Amino acid sequence: MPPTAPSTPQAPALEIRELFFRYGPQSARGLQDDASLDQDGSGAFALRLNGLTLDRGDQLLLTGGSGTGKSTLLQLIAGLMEPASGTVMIGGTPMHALHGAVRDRFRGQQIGMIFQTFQLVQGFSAIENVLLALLFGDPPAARVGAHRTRAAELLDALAIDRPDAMVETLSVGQQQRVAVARALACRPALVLADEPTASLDPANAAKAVALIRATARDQGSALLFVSHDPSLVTQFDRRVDLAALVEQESAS
Amino acid sequence: MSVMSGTRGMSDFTIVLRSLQARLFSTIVTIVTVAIAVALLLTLLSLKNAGNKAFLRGSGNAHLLVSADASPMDSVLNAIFYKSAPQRPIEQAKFNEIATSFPWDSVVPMQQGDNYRGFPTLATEPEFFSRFQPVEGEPWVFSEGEPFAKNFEVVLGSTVVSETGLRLGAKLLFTHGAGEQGHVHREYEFTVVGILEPTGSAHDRAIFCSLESSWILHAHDRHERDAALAGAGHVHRPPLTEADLLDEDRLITGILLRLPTRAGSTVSSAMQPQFDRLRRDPTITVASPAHEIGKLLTIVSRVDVLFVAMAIAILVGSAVSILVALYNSMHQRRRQIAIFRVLGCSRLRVMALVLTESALIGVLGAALGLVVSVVGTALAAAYLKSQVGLVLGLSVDMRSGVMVLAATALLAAIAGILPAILAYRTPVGDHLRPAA
Repeated sequence: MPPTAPSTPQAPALEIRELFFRYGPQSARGLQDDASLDQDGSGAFALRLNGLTLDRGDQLLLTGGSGTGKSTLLQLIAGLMEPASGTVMIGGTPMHALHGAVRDRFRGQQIGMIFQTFQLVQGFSAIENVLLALLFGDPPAARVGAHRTRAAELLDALAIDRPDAMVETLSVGQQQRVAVARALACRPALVLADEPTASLDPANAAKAVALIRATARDQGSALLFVSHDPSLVTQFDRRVDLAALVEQESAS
Repeated sequence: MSVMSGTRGMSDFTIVLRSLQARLFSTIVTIVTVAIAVALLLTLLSLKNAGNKAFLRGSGNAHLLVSADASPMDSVLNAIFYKSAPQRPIEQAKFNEIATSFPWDSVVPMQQGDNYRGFPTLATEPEFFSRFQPVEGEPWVFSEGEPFAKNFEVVLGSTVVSETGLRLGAKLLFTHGAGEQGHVHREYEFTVVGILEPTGSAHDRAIFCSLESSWILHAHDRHERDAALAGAGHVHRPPLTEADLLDEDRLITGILLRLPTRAGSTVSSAMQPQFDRLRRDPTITVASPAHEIGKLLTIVSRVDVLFVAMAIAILVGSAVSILVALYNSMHQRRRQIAIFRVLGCSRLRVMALVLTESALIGVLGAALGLVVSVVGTALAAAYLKSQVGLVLGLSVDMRSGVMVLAATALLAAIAGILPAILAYRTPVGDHLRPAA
């Protein structure tokens, strides 16, 4: 396997230029069912984004109503979808120039993702969920001991007192913290948080945001926080509305 | 193992084990299905081997068998497997002619025809125990007593002992013919002087005595018939002795011949010429026991092929059950696969995880099946030996065990290909959205 492209320390954590994405009714694979993105009922959708840069350690709140393409943008950044044109640089490495296993490993290493529903792996303990991230994102597995130490320290820092408990037995708050620990396990250049507070009440949402921000800062990762929750706006110094950032057009 | 403790490292193998654990019921059912198929296949293979070995045992170290039976197959079935009493005898003169026609390594005459409670008798010379081996390279072993030295002494095969409970010194009477309903030779009582160890051949069911004893029994019958024809009625004469025997009484039903062989060899270059020479004599039938048994095996092996084909079909069926189990699980696992992909797992690695899981089910099932068949055949062999006295080489050959194990793992991996492709093609984005 070719070595993963190293991220250049000086380069921004995220740099998007002239990104254009579209899918039509024919080419849409697996997205057809997402009616919220179906702008004109034809099944076609397009997203154009001229530029977005996040420096190392930057934290940005990206707002926007549902159906504006926030999730699509995150998947483009994570290299889980292919843009029609444009570039997405992660730590100086063009994500879409990487292919197959190299891109997957690069994602695992350089991008941590946090989801609204946490997406913890059921049947695995808290520490094992973190270890999975290290297994896939930070090979070789010869560093088993180091992985274990790293995972234990992260969970300890996030006040998970039962790291060997199965994730499904943890409280919602604890599950969220495990999800945060997993996203940051490989010290990624960039953390993508996709509506992680959407299912929480305002008080807990504020706590969760504070936790994610603090942890990302501690680990030296940039944070792109996506939410449609206007109450979070005050918590971020830097925020941008997707509508202002993108040109969305119907591909008619 | 790391799965349980949860305190060791995380590896791809841990993921596979967790996946099997997560669907424990399905996993166990699938493993048991594979195990049954493998156990069945291995047991059938071992039965096939045991059957072949059982057939091969008994012809022993005789190269040729001469009789007056209708066909070589009949003569082998009668003389080696005690199927029925030979109907046509060979006379003393013919025996002498054959015995002196070639420098045989050994010449063992036999006479069959009587029985004791359904166990066939074989009248022969003491050389039967010293020169003839029931299994090539495995001479007779006496567990008790010794070969008969005098008339009206008998040696018992191991099965006879286990089924009748006769011990050394016991007395018995022979019945004429192969069945239990024949005429009982009341006048002549036999004494048990020797008991043989099991040989795994049909000889274990036989009772052995001297030729002269048998001839005297039949000479006595002849005398009674003659007296009856002469109108003398049923008269009890004093027991006959060897001195009363005429040449016409000295009949045999088979001759076991062994040709001289080089040291370390069991075959003789003179075999074919002697076979051809003897075959030209129209009054006798000459058979090569090994050749006739080979013909029997050919017939039996066709049945074997059917059995093995059935077992393989069951094995393939169990592979299909792996396929179905994994295929059904793929729907639930799509979200997990999507998470793995987000965490940096490649498509090929996802595929490898599923294939490994599939192969592991196969290996575990095959291992379980191997254990079941090894234990099962050992128990069955022990039972057959103790209850029926049948020595079947009923054991799972480790080489075929390993081959079946490897074949099952491969078959299981193949069964995993379709689910693995589904895993490979799982789109990531769809499965990470919160359920609507």
